[in-house]
Amino acid sequence: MAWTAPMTAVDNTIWTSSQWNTHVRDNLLETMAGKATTAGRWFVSTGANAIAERVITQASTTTSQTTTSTSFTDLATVGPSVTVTTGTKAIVFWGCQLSNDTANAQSRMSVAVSSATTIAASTNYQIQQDGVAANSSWRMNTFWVPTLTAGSNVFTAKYAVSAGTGTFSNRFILVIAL
Amino acid sequence: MVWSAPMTAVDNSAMTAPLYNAQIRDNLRMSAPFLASGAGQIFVTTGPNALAARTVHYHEVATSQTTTSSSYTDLSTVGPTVTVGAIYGQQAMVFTTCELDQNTTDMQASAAVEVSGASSYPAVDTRCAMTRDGMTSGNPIQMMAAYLYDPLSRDGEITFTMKYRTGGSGTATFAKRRILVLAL
Repeated sequence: MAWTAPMTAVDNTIWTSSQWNTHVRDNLLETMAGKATTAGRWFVSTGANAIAERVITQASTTTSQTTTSTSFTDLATVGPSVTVTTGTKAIVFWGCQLSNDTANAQSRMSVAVSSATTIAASTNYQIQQDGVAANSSWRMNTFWVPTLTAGSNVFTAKYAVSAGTGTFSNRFILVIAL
Repeated sequence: MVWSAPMTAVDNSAMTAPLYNAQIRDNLRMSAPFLASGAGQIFVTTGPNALAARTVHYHEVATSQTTTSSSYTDLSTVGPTVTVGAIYGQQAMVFTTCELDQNTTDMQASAAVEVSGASSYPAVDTRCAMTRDGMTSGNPIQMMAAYLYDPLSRDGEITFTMKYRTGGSGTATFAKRRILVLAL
């Protein structure tokens, strides 16, 4: 059903069941209470006079793993990754503990989007450790608001180095769907 | 329109047009679907039994630019910056991130947020700020800051702008700059 602008009643006119169904029943079903399905979610608009329930979700992987890839790639345990129904935007937070066995070499963590939207991981939105002694471990975080195709989108953490072997642990990704 | 506490119906009493308009029409006009004016808005309270739709404000400036200023200042491309309408809840969550670097080893590069308009908070190291320090020059790192600004005025527009400085010498470089504001 869809929202209909609530009618203005006029004294001495007949109130029909059709009017009740359109202006009261169907409109109440379009409210947050009418649409709420699960605890812990919030509501966003999807257009004029339209709302949707959205999730806030997080995934994490504590396992410490490595890569020597100079292009963004998966680690032995892929991710972390979340699958979320979104509109055309989402707020994405991510971070991890990262280090490199080579002094002054970079270790990087970015996010790729797939399914309804395809966006490759990129140095344009990443965390990066650089210019420190070998095996210096830092905890870093960042965020990004990508433009998406509305629908089911998958957000997956990806990793790379500029040189040496990068080590990544305590990795998380948090997505607030809009 | 204003919310009215829903009446309790009594058998054999008339449902008049004014009753319908106040109880059903006007109360529905205080619901999220009526208030939603476009996609991507969130809903916050503005007082007892009152809601408003809020836009999620986001702006990014990818350009890498520099400053030698030791006090917070703009870069050649100002910002990123967002302007928010009257904030009835008098609070805003602000998140910033950028890549920071310095051409002088062990010299600082810092970024913070200036609030202007109906409310004023200068950019300082203790609010929504990040500092890169004690590192070899030419090694950029991406950092993030978060802060809840409270109180903010509800009497007009408020602008949030990222600002930048060095630690007193050298040239600081900033890139991949992003700001996200959730006004309550």
